[in-house]
Amino acid sequence: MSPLVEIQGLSKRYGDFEAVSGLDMTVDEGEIVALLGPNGAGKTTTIRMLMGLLEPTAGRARIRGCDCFLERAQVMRFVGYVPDEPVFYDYLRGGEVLRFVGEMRGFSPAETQARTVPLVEQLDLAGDLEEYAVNYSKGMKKKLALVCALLHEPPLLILDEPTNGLDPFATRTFQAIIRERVQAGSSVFFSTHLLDQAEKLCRRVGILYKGRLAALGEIGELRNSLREGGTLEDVFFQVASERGENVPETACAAGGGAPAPPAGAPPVATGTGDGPSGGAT
Amino acid sequence: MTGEPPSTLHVTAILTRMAGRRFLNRLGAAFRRRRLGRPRPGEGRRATPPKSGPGVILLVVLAVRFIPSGITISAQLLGNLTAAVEGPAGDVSQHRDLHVGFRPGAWPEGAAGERLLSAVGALFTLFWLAILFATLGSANPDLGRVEWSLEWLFTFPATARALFLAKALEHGVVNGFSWLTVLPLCLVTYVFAGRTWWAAALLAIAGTLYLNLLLGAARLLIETWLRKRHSLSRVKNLQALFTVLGMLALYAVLYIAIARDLPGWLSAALGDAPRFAAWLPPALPVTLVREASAGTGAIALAAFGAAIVAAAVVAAAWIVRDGLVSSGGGAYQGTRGAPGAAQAHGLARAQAQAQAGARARARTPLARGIVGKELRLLVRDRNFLVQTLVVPFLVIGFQVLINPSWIRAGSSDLRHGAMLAFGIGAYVLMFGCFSVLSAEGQGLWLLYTLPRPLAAVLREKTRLWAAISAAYAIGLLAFVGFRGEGRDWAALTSAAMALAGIVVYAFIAAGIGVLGTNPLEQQPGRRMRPGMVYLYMLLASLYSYGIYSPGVWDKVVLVTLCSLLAFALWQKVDDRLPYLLDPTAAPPPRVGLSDGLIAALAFFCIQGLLTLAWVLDPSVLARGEPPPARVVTLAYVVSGLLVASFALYSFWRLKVPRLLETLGLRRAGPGSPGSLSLARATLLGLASGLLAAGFALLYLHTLERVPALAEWKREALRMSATFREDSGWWLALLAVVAAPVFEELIFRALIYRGLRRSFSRWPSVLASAAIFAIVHPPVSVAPVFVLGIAAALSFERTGLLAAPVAAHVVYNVTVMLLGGE
Repeated sequence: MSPLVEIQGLSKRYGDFEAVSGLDMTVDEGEIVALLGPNGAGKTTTIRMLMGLLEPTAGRARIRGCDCFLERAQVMRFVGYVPDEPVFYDYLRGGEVLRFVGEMRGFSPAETQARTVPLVEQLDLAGDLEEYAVNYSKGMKKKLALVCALLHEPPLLILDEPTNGLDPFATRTFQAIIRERVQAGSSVFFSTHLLDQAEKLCRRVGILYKGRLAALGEIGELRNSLREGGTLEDVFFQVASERGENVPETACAAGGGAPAPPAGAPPVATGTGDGPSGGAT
Repeated sequence: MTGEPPSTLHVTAILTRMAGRRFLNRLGAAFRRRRLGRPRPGEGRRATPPKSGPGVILLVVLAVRFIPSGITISAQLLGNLTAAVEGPAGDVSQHRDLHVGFRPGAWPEGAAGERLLSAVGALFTLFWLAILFATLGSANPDLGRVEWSLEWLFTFPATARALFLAKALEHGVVNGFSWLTVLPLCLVTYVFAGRTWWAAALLAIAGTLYLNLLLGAARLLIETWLRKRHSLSRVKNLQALFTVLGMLALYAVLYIAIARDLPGWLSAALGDAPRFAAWLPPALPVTLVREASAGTGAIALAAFGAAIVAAAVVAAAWIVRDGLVSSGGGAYQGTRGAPGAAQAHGLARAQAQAQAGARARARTPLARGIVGKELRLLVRDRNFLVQTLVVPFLVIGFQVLINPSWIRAGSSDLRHGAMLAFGIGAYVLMFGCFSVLSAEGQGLWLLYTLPRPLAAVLREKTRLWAAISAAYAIGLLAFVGFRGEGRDWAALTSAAMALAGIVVYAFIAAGIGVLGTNPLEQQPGRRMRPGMVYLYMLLASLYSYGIYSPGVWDKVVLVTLCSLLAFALWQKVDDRLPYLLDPTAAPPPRVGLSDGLIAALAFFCIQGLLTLAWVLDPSVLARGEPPPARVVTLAYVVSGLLVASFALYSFWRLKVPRLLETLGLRRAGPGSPGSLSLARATLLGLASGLLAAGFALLYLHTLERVPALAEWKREALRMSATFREDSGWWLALLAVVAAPVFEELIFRALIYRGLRRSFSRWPSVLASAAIFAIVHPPVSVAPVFVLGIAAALSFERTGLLAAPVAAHVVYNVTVMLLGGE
């Protein structure tokens, strides 16, 4: 079966600055994949290209065979999206935002109500739906955006830093919802700089560093690629140090004695053959 | 640990420098769009240049234009006030003609001079209030935002007084509108009072600076108090009120300046203005008119201004002594934090949800989706409501007030009423349709996540605003139609023309609005390029020709061309929408329908102007005689060469891919659709032209056989004769070379190609042929339409412009030789 999401040679340049360069990865049906990276690595740019908000400078991204940029409206039928910092219209209540999104997706108000009630209950938003969305806290806006994204039960969820700004309760609820969706057959692609979150949720991760895919593969194999029983954090800092970032000495020491590939080398890929070289280096 | 907190002056200098740096960065961005080359090793990321600049040149032109207008209006104002105070006191029954003219040094002496001082003082106060309300109104970028910039500044180790001083100075000194309007008024006032020019200039600068400092102080106090005491939703409602008050005050001043005949009561009120009006703070520059020397006056004004700013700073600091903003409640007047909110939260959620569900079910279909969202926001956001619905009403109302004959004219002749209705509707469109994209603000991302093309969503919004604008127009038409006579068929077609125009111009306004909006701009007031407003007003003014034209054909042509323009604009919108949220990428350059329409418009305009310029005997045209064939032909050729050259150069500069193949100037690659050799293409074109010419001859023959049609044909040819038959060679040059080449370049290479991007073959063929036909005289529309079809089909089949050119040549030659006339 062809992957749900296919990213091939995806690049984005802003003037002289290359935000993303030659990104290759896939997301299969029913999979959770995280895109990790430090601030400014190109995660949000990648997601915005998947959402058709930005035209790639090179390469392409497809969701269910549809080009993300050229066939954006078609792609949005399959996708639910939560941005890093959702902003809602002034003077619309949370409930009205949900009704608006439901109507724009072709659901009657009653259908929208039926679809959103369980979600708002689960996210503890029910008592705030009569409040103007602009008065919501950052976490509440994230929750409202998640309900908007899940309303039409999309096959693919694209989340940009989904738990950024959420309290621990809401974070756990988010994670539970993500797992439920995956069990129901959806796929999830999310960006984060929180390594522990990726470890809890995902099977596969890609590590983006300065616009390039520095590592890609299953978490367990990535961990063991450096040393037996290593952590994802070890992998992350190893990748960063290879590319000249000043990494705290303790982190480098914990990274162990695996030989460091030279700078500019292809990403560390394991097992699943998703990297550009098609295999482990 | 941070160092010593900066002093008040240091804070002021830092904030002023930051404001200046932001201003220069904005200006510099307009000139920094060229690539600067790759960064050198070790050099960090450079500032990404924006896709569009702030329209600096237009702003400079507008600014320069303000000054002479301000001087003229100020002079009229003083002249009218002088007439009011010199008339019989207490006379409220007479209207009087107020235009007595402005003369330097003509300030009256004695009691009249004192009364004039009070009247001018009152006007200065009213004008100052107008500017104050305008700066507090909807255009204020900071007051209506959830994140108030002062909140961020208060996180720095600077005293409140230091921050407020910097803000007051920034508000006061950096106020371009105030400088451009108040300075001329002050200058004219001092000259009228008999000051020398240098003294008047010095006092005018000092007076303007003083009034601006007063403005800055008042704005600081009011903004601080509003944000401290009121919720954001109430502040925004007050902003809407300020906008209305500011407009009313400004129009009051303009009315006094512009009106030729003030009502007696107003004239008496001005003539008997209370003495204290000359001593109100905004009137202080006026009291120095005759009292102090220029130097002393300037120093006094500066001192008073500084004192007022200092007092405002102290007062503002006192207001925030217990915090910059009040606690509790959200940014808008919502339910969280309100008394009883916790209790409400504890109520059965099912009950609340059931109520919400019932409300949702009861909502009418009209109020759903994007239309429902727009109407909801329109009703709740008073700022938006005032901007889009009330301001146009005030603007048009003021025009009617100073031109009361408009209503009388509209009632007596419905064409005038139709023109007025279209004007009002087009004006409302300028506020509603222009902002279809910019009004989405930072919520635009939500529309991108929906499975609908953004263009479809924006068109739905446009239809809503077309309906709202049409309601204004229908109301006015009903009013003038009810009052007056003149309800014949011609008048009714003018009324229908006006309403049709509102629908068409809704899409033109929305298209221009989308193309001129930068959604990435943070400040709402700067999202729209100012030049787009003038472009729209120019296009709207052209429509008046159709309303007043007696002929139905002219009306049809104009509506068709305007509809095409709307379509062409939206073709460009469709190109642009996928790149809206990309800070650097732009749509790839392509030949579009708009390029063809612009080329056609330029071609006919330049040709007309050249004809007028080259007719050596202007009385020829005054007598209604057509110009010589030589003049027409040369104008045609020169116009065609200019338009063709400019078009080709523009496309080349934009790097339109495969330009020559697109325009049919070079054969497409072997195997490409429509690629034939030049010889075969020409032959095909000749054959097509012969077929079209055959139809034309049949058509002409049919016209001759029916006497009524023959008479119509002769009259139509006589009225549409473009030149005298004084030289066969010039005619041949026009018919065989110039017309085929340039017309085919415009109507096939540009317009047909542009249509073909959006439509399949036959709709594009028929549409391009129709456009080609309607720009010809009515009597030749039918055969020219057939020629257009033949030419378009031959172009589609061959891909070479030689084919339609050959068709056109054959057609012209055949009709000229065998058509009889």
